[in-house]
Amino acid sequence: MPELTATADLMSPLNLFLQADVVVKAVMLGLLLASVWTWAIIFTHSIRLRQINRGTDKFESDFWATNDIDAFYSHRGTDRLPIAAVMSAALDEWRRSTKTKQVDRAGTRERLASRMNAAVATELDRLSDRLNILATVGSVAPFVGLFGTVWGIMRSFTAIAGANNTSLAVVAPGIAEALFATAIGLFAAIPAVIAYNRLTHGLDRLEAKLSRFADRFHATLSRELEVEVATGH
Amino acid sequence: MRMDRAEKVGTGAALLFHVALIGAMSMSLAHINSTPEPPAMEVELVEEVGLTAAAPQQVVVPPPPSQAPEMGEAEPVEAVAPPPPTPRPTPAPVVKPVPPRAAPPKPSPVVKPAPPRTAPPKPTPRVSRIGDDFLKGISDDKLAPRAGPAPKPAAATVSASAMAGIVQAIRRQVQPCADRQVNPGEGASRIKVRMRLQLTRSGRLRAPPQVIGTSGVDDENARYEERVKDLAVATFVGCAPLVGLPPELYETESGRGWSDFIMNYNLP
Repeated sequence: MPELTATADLMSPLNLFLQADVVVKAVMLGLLLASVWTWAIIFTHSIRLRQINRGTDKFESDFWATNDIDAFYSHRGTDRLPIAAVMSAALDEWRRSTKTKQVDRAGTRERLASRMNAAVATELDRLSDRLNILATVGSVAPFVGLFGTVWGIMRSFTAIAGANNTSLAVVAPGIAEALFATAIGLFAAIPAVIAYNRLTHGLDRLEAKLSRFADRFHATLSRELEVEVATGH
Repeated sequence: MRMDRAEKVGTGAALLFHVALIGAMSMSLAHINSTPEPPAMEVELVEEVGLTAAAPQQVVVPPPPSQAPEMGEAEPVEAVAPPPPTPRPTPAPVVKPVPPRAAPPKPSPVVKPAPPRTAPPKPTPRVSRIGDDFLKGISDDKLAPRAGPAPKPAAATVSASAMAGIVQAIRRQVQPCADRQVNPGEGASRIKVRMRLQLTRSGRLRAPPQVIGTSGVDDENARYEERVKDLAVATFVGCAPLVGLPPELYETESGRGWSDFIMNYNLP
């Protein structure tokens, strides 16, 4: 064990890391990587979710304002938005179903509904990717940190036994560096849990929004189907 | 491409955030104001340290056995204990064959054990109240002086402080004689003479003081060495009866004590 003096930079994270045992070092590094990853996911998903929400609102208002759905579809249908994908799926199904002379209205309605539901599910599935990592980090990181702490404290107690000295100067640095592992674990876990709840809530709202849009669009298409059949398309 | 950009931005931001945090903690956030150390305490090194226990050893004297007659009732154990060996074995074989053969004698086993129990106490005098000779123990004790140990137990050893006290006492008594000596010449006062004093309990010299050795002799004062030795002997002989020394430290179990004592002497 290196000679340690109680100076101010003893508490700097770099020193705490460098003085730690190999196992504790590995724990710290892993937790730091988990923290970086967590924050990367948080930033990425927050940015995405905000963009998608803004885009969806604009898309929806534009969509209901337009008179020519076909033109709107050819113009905006390729937008990288979940709502655009839902609309594309519905129109695609509509075109395929009404291509034939004999239109099965009930079957078309059913197919439209299932296609739109599938599109919503696909989009949400794509968006909620990696949120499980947040959940995992949030629940496991404290334990990993605790493991590092327990290991470090065991090691520092062994050092005490070796030094035959229980003065605070011998005990304190080892315990401080061990507790640093738990600190990193909590540092990674707390934002992960908060972000997981927040992002899940945001995705739930987005899903509700998409479902509402799908239902509304489905009602419109359904009505259109009756009109077109009535006019004998 | 937009999604990928969001991912890149997010990862970059996370990395930057962590680097900035660690940097900030290393630079200033984690600084702890160390409290100034308290001023060091003054410590005096004491040379007179008793490394061994100097307390007088307790002499355990067993109390003399009581010779006075016992007061109160005779102990019941003594009364009951003697009878079993003789009377019991005999009645048992006699009584046991009797009840099975003759049915009626129920009271007989009750009555028969009774006599042996009541009979033995009678011969021993139960009345042991205060007798005529109740002063026997006391008078005996007074007449015959105890063959006990010395009234004052010898100390186990002489503690350093006690030794220093003895040296002081001897030096004080010898001082007048030492002052009378004439310094033979320059440098003679640097000579230190180690003297062995053999004293009796009353403080007299058992033998003339012996010179064990000298120190501090150099070229300048070598010629005064013999003279200083003589002066040292004369000093202790002149003020010989050394009184007031602690009697319990005359001899100790460890062999140290002022019965055979070594002192340093040098001219004033």
